[in-house]
Amino acid sequence: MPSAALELRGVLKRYGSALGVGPVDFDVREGELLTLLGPSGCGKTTTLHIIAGLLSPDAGTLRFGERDITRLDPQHRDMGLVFQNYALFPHKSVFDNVAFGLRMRRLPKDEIRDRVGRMLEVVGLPGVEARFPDQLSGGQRQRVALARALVIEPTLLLLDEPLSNLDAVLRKRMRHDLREIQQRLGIATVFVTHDQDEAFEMSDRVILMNRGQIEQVATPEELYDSPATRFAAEFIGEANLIEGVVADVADGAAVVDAAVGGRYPARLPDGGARSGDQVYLMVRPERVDIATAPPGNGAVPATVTKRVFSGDLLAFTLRTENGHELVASKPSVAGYRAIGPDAAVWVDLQDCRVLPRES
Amino acid sequence: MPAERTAGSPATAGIGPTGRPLPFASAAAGRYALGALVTAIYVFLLAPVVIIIFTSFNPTEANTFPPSGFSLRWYAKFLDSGGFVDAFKFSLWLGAIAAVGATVIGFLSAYGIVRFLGRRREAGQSLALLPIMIPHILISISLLLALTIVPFPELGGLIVGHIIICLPFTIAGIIASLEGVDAQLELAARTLGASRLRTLWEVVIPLIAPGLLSALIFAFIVSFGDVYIALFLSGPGRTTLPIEIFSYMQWESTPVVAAITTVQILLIIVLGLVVERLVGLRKLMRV
Repeated sequence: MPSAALELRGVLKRYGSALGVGPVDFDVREGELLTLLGPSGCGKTTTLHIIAGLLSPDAGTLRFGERDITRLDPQHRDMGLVFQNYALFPHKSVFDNVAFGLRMRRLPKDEIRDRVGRMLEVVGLPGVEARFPDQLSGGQRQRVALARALVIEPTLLLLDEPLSNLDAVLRKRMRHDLREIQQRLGIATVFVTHDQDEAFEMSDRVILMNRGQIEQVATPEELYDSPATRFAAEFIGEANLIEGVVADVADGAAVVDAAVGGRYPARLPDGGARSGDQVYLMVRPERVDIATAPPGNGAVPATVTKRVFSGDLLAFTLRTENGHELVASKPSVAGYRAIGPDAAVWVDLQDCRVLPRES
Repeated sequence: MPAERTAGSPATAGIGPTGRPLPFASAAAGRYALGALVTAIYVFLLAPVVIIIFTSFNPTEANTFPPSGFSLRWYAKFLDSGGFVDAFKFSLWLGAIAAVGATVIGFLSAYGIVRFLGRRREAGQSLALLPIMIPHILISISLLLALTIVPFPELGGLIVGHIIICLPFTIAGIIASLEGVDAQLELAARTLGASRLRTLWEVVIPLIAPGLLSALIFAFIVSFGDVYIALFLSGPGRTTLPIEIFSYMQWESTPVVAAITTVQILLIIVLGLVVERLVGLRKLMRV
């Protein structure tokens, strides 16, 4: 396992009497892109500002390698932060914006000129040194902000929703470019976003946050396949959550009697489960099988109540005989296209997972 | 600052109070009525100033208007009289010190109010602007009494008094400028290696430079026109121009006062133009 660049332990921040964040514990590993993902107000930007030293935590410690940096002023942390609105200095040229951090470090003029020029090439914007921020497009400003943060060769790159002000096309391209630059420089990065697609496409690991707490730390695939909580299941992608009762547990897997009817094998959460537990059965929409003829082995009869065509996919809303709703997502191929609204079908659930049901 | 505030166009009189366009005849009538009203207000405000300027060119000892001829003798008299010239120089000097003092203190106060007070900001702002509500003569008397308790050179008292009456204006103006500065810019500077002080110097001050300059000049004008503070706190040999004029007019009345006033008006117009010009220039330089 790669070593940790930054460790947060028991970090807590309160706003007045309301809890801002924490306590949270996590590591940022060398060279990885770690994403803080969550709805607005979940504390991800607060956490980022604590890492940058712009906010002081009420409790807990931050360690950078061997060094305790909890009380270190931001100007001594050597971290590059890219703000959501870019925060370029409007009264300085692009050159002076990018050179700012180097000037603060009192580097010789020649070296500053070299490094600014090279960094503008890295971010794909050579030759704009003399322009002012208000003469640049949104995408260009974003690249200048990135260059300004990277040119100081930061120990950690911090990105606060850097793509949210760009239009959809540019955002897609910047996701790719940002990730490519990050991997080329091998710089440990903390990326804050509320956009699940961004998090999945760019991250090595994702920290899912909700109401100031960490819900789950996992790779994008783990997070999608094995959400740890109901919040994780519903925030990441779409999920069918079906009430059920554990019938049997054996070899780390459970068999669950589901409210939709039928009995399904399901993977267990970290906390495990026992026979008789009231749980949720989580199934992703693409793992809900639909058949027009009874496949036999315990499939449940249902009717299609809604069918939405979105090009590559078909989204079905189904009602089972005993009145439960399910959503299914299927490739838009001839077999599935033939299934119209009001069609009678049989459904089967695959790759189920048990989620604890809070009382 | 005045340039931005007065930039609204008066040509919108064709829209009625409900937002619907008025019928043409009534819109035109309304426009003429408004024009007449505005003209009347300006005449009311500026007529005394215009009369003073004309009076200063009187060749005789009488303050007649219109002047009975054209002469610069009262300007010569002003330059010849040591008392008025000394008072004029002293007022300029005092105004400069008070303006710099009130702008520096005002900047620090305004920055503290905008960035550090949080929810107590409204209270802090009201408290800082309080001296506007207190009649200057009360501030002056309080200072005079305070100076009998705390030994302090008399000149110091006058400077402190002038800084006090200028501060609300500089604080209010600088707060307005600071509100236009995105706090994230300062955070960005901090993460890039600038200390708090360096951030003020590199980011905040350049961005509000026009506001600071306006505050400086406005404070100078407030100090230059003060009577009440100087009435109690200026000592023998250190009189400000308004006090010198005031004591002169108790015994004599010649157009020399009109001449001095005209010079002051000219000074203030020039300062106003300088602000206008500089603020305009900064705008061109995309600040």
